[in-house]
Amino acid sequence: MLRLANLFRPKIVVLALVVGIVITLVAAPTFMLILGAFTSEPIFETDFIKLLKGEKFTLANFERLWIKFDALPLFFNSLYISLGSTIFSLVVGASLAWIITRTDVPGSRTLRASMLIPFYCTPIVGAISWSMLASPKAGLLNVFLSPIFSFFNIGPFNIYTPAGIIWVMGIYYAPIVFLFCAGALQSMDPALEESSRASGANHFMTTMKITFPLISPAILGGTLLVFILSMAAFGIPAVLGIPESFYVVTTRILTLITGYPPEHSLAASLGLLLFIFSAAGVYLQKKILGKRQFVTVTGKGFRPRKIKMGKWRIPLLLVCVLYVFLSAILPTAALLWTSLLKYLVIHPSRAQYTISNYLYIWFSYPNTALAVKNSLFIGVIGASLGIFLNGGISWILHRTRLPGRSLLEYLSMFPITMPAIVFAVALLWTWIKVPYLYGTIWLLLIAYITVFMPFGIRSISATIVQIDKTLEECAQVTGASWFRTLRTITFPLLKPGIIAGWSLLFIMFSRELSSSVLLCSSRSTVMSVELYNLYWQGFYPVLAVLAIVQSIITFGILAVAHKLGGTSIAIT
Amino acid sequence: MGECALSVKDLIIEYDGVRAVDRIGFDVETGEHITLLGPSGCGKTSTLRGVAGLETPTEGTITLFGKTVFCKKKGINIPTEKRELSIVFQSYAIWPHLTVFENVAYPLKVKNYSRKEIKERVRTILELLGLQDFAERSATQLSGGQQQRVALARALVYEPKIILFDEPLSNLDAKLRAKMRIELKTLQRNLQFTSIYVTHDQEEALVLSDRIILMNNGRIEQEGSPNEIYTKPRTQFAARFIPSANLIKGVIVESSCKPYYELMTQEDVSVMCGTTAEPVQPGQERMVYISASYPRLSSSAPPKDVNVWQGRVKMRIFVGDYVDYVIESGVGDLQVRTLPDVLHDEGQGIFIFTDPKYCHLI
Repeated sequence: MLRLANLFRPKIVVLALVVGIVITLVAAPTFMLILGAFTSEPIFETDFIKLLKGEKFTLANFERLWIKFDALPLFFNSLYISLGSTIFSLVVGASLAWIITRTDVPGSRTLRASMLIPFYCTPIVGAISWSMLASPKAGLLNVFLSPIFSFFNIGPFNIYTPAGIIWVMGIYYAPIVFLFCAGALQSMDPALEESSRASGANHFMTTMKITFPLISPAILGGTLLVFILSMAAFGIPAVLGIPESFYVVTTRILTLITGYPPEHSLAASLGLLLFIFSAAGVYLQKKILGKRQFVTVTGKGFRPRKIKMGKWRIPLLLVCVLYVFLSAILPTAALLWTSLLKYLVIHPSRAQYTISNYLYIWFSYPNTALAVKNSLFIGVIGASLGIFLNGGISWILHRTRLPGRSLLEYLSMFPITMPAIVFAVALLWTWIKVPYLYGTIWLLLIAYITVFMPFGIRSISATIVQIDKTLEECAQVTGASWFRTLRTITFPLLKPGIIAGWSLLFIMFSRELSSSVLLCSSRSTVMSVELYNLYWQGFYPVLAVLAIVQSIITFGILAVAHKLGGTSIAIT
Repeated sequence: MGECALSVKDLIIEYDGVRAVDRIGFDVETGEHITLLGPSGCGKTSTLRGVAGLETPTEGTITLFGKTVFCKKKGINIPTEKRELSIVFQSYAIWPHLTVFENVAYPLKVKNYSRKEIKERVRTILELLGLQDFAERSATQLSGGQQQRVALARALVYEPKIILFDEPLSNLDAKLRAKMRIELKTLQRNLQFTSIYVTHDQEEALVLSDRIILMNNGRIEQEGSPNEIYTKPRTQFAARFIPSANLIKGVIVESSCKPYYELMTQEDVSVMCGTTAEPVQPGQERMVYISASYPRLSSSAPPKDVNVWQGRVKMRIFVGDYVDYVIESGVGDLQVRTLPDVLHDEGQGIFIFTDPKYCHLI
């Protein structure tokens, strides 16, 4: 019997509130984007009623994109670098995963931790460091290796090419494939391989015919994710592609909006196309992962035995160390070195050093100080708000049987299908008429919370799902009210997961670039946007200092969270 | 005797259109220990959780000690925390972030007992279960058997009137299971409580219950005392559920030896049966149920008139406390369980005699 009182049970109210918030955050901008794509004037300048009636519907944008603005070559460029980085990270990630988890290479635990460093680095900082290393004229690597180049008569490295973009993206996305594969490899039932060996197959055959096929869903899942992320990437293609006029869809969207004259409608249409493409990719990934793992997680806790590599142990170790060197050590060294320069020089021998950059960054560049303050503020407040919202959503999804749960799940995972920069366009259009929001950090907060909602939810859900329902039911049976159970049982058990989730959100918020670049104003600038601006202005030493500051903040938070939570931060 | 502790009427529990519990009803008297027994998916756990309020039934009425806690028609659904019962879960559900003492003290804290009383009661129950040395340990540092006892202690500490057990011994190894069974039986004797036990293990059910409710596919197949279930199963399902049951197919014929019933097997061997689940007519196809413990083996023909069959020892399995034989005979392959004092070799010719009063027609 549905009494009216039932409607106002706390659970229903919470559900309604949460669904309402998610709809506002997600559905409204999407709706505006679709509207804008099919209107030839910017929709915030047209009559909204006429718009809704469909009187302004037109396909002119898409026509112009095709004919005038070379939409097709743009997509080819995006596909090219995405495929390249996907293949690169697949090879690197999967191989390193196998080496570190399945062979007796020395120091595997340290290696495993080091594999995650590039994951926590800001991609744009990686791109910038590599531009310092491999720019054709003044790149440090080129300078040091020039005698070798002239000896073999080959050209210097040029990072400002599609190949350069693929190189950097591959390095920084490899940890994602690594995590997927390492996870699958470690939870595999050793008996599956042992039966293969008992039947007479050697290590190589077993690995090729049994191990890798068994973890193929994980490999595919990771690879597809990297592909989707590459298509939506902005920072690396911008830093390394724009100098030589190599544009991809995301960077072109930016120039459409910031260029003169601004082409807002075209940006919306282009964004819509990218969004559809991305959504298809996510759908595909879900389907593949839906056929989950054939691999059974063994309940007895036996880990697969490591394969003895004998004389190959050291070479394999060197391979791993090489990756860590290229992804973390070398770029950081370049950054550090640059940060200590008085000014940029062609040849390092003529460099003059100073630490004044570290001191004056706060005073000579007021924007920078403001950017750091804003980033910290948004990181702390945003992560906290985000955890509340995501925690509530996770709890509704996993601990209640309320109706409308699947709609909520769909809505809240929806942002992952939309590239952040496209979402920023949509947000711009939604909120541009609201003076207290537009151009402020609150707009950034809304953007970040929405864009990263899927990650926060996944992180918390991973913890909730691990808590046996009977632990809470038992408290209920002894007479504890719902709230008391939550307070004394659920929350203490969730604490590590919440800390991990908060840290993940903080880190992701503080380094976000793709949507910030469109939504920031001079008052509401953040660290990544400042880095981006400083890069175009050519102030490399200061840029390097800011990049180091950002890295210190990121890894500082990581260290604190690790101490408090003790568990590693899950990404999927 | 007297008050009805639990009364379940017309209970239906559905999940996603599937009926896990298909209109069952039963009563439990105060002080009785009953078991819901059946294979996986028969609805026993769903029923238990329905009684506890952890699942919401689709239809039916549940009454605890005279108070209606659930009635679909009247829209009554009292939440779990107010039903004043206690559960021991299969997974023990020991809270990992609390010590043993805190785990057991939790229900008393919820019920606002004074600190002094809590300390006293918890100490008493921990001693009763042999856990007094573990009070300050983190709950996760205990073995499975110890965790099981902590779960028990927690369930008993506030002296509930009724305790629900959801397959509490399934996660223990065989030896520990046997030991805990006896401990539970002792607690049943010494403390005053009513209990509803859920298990798929027939031995547990036989050991721990005053009455067994056998369930299959969401329905009650048979209700009765352990002895009744063991000696007089009413259906094939009930018979197959008993360990070491022999089922012999045949046709009822006009009995040549009243007052027994006579069943003729395919090989024209006759079995005289003392009891039947339902009235029988000659010509009907029926089965005879003989538990493996009752047939007697001997190397020479025993001086009996009926139910003497000739056979050969097909297999002998020495289990230590007893010996299991599989005997090929005119009534089919019979499983016979004997004491290990006399051993018959495989391949040996053998005579089997079964007193008709142990042959039950289904």
